[in-house]
Amino acid sequence: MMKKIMMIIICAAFTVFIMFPIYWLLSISLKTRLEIISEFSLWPTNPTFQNYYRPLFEDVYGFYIRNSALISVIEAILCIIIAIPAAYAFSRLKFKGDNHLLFWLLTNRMAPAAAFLIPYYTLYVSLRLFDTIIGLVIVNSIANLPFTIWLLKGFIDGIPKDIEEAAIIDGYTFWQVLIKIVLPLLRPAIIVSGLFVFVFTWNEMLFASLFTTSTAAMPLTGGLLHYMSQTWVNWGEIAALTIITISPILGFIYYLQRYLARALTFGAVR
Amino acid sequence: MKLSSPWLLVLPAIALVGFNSFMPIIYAAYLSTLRYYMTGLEPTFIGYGNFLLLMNDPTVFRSLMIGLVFTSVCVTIELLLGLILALILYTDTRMNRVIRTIITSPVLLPPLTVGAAWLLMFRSDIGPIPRLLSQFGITYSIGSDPFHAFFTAVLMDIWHWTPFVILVLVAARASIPPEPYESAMVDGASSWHIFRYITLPNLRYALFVVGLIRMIDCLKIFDEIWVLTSEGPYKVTNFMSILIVKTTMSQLNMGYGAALSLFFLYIIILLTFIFLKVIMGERK
Repeated sequence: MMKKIMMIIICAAFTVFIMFPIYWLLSISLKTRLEIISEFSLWPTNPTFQNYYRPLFEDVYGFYIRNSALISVIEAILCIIIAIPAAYAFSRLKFKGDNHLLFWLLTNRMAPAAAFLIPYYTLYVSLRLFDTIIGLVIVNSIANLPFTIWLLKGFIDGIPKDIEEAAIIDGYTFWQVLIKIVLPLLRPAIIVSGLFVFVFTWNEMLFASLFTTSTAAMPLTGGLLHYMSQTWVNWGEIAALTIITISPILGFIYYLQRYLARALTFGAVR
Repeated sequence: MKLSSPWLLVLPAIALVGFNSFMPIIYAAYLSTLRYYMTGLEPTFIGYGNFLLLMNDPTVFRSLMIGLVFTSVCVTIELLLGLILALILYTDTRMNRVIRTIITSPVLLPPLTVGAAWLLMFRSDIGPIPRLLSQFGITYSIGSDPFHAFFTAVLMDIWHWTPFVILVLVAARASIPPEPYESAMVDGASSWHIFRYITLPNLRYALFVVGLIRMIDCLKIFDEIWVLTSEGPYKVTNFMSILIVKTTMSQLNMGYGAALSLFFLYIIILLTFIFLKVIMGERK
C-alpha cells in the first residue's frame, strides 16, 4: 500500500513538472502581447484567441507544417526500413569488421553539424538536393539511422535465438524469418524508434533553416527561425503555433501507446 | 538462411550515412589547416597551427569541462528518473497511456521553442518562477548568477529528455517475455530480487543505448542553451557547440572553427569509446 502511494506521488509530481512549461506556453498563447511582457499572471486575465489567427489562417504555416510532416514521416519510414535488416545483421550474423562498422555509424551522430555546413551546402547544391524535401530527408538520416540501428540491435539481441532456429528447421527462408518472426516481436522497438526518428526530424533546426529557402520545402523549424529573426517577436504567436502543432501529434501518440507497451508474447508467435 | 550476405543487409545504411559523412569530414579536415576568415581575405595554409592554438586556449578546456559536468549530471538523473517512471508506467492501462502521452509533450517541441519557453519562465523581469521565488525573498536570476543559469539549464534538459528515456524503457520492459516473472512469482521471490535479477539484466542494453545517445546529444547541446542563456553569466554555459558556432558564425573564423569541431568530434568519439569499454568490461 505504501509502495502504491509512493508510486502515485512520484508520477503526479513528475507529470506536474512536465506540464507546467506546457501550461505556461498555453497561457502565453492566450495573452495579448502587452500582457506577456508587462504584468504577471499565472492565467490570462482576458483570454484572447488573436494569437491563433495567423498560425491557423496564414498560408505559409500550412506549407511549413505540411513540409515538416512529409519530411518527418518519410524519414521515419525510411530509417525503419533500412535499419531493420542492418540491425539484424549486426545482431545475429558475424562478419568481418562488424563492430568497427557499428561504431563508425554511431560516430556520425557525434559530428557537430555546424562544422559541416559549408561542405554540405556545396554537395547538396551540386546534386540539386538543395531546397528539396528529399534532400532534407537524406541529410537527417546521418543522425537518425545510427540511432535506429543501435536501438533495434539492442532489442534484437534480447530475442532468444531458438525461435528463429526452430523456424528455419520448419523451412522458413531468411526473409520469412525476419518478417514473420522477428518483426512482430520487435513491435514496441519499432514504434518507439520510429516515433523518435519522427520527433528528431520534426525538431531538427540547423539544416531545416539553412538548406531550404522556399515554401516548397521549408519545414516548421526553419520557418520559426526566420520568424524569430524578425525585428520583434510575438511570443504569443509562437506559443500558439506550438500548441497547434503538438496537439494532433499528441493524439497520434496516444493512439500508438497501445502498441508500445503490448508486446506479442512468444506463445502467440508460434 | 542462405540469401543473406550480411553486407547486403547493412549496405543501404552504410551507403546513406557514408554519403553524408565522407565529403564533409574531408572538407572540414582541409579547412582546419587554413587561417581563413570569411571576410574576403585569401586563406593561408598553416598546417596544424589551428590545433596548436586550440591546445593553448584555456576557453576550450573550460568549455569541455563544463560540458562534461553538465552531461554527467543530466544523463545520470535522466536515466534514474526514467527507469523509475518507466517501471511505474509500463503496464498497458488506460491511465498509463494517458500519462505517457502527456509526458511525451516536451520532446515534441523544437529545442528552440524549449529554450524560449524556459526563458519566458525564468527571465527575471517577466518569468513566473523568479517572481514566485522573490515572494520568499530569494533572488533568482539566470542572467547574472552562474549557478542559477547552470541549474536552470540542467533542469531544462531533464525536462526535455527524461520522457525519451521513459518511452524507450517502457518499450524495452514490454518486450521482456512474461515467463521468468511467472516462475519467480511461483518461487516467491521478493520484488527487489525480481527487479535485480530479471528486470535490470533485461533492460541493460536499452539503458546502455539510451545512455549513450543521451550522452552524445547532451555533449552537443546547442539550440536550447543558445536561446536560454547563450554563453551565460561568467560563461558558465559556454559549451563546446556554442563556442564553435560563435567562432564560425560571429567571428567568421572558419579555419579555427573547423579545427575546434574536429577536435570536439574526436573527444566525443574517445568518450564514447571509453564508455563502451567500461560497460563491455563490466559484462565479462
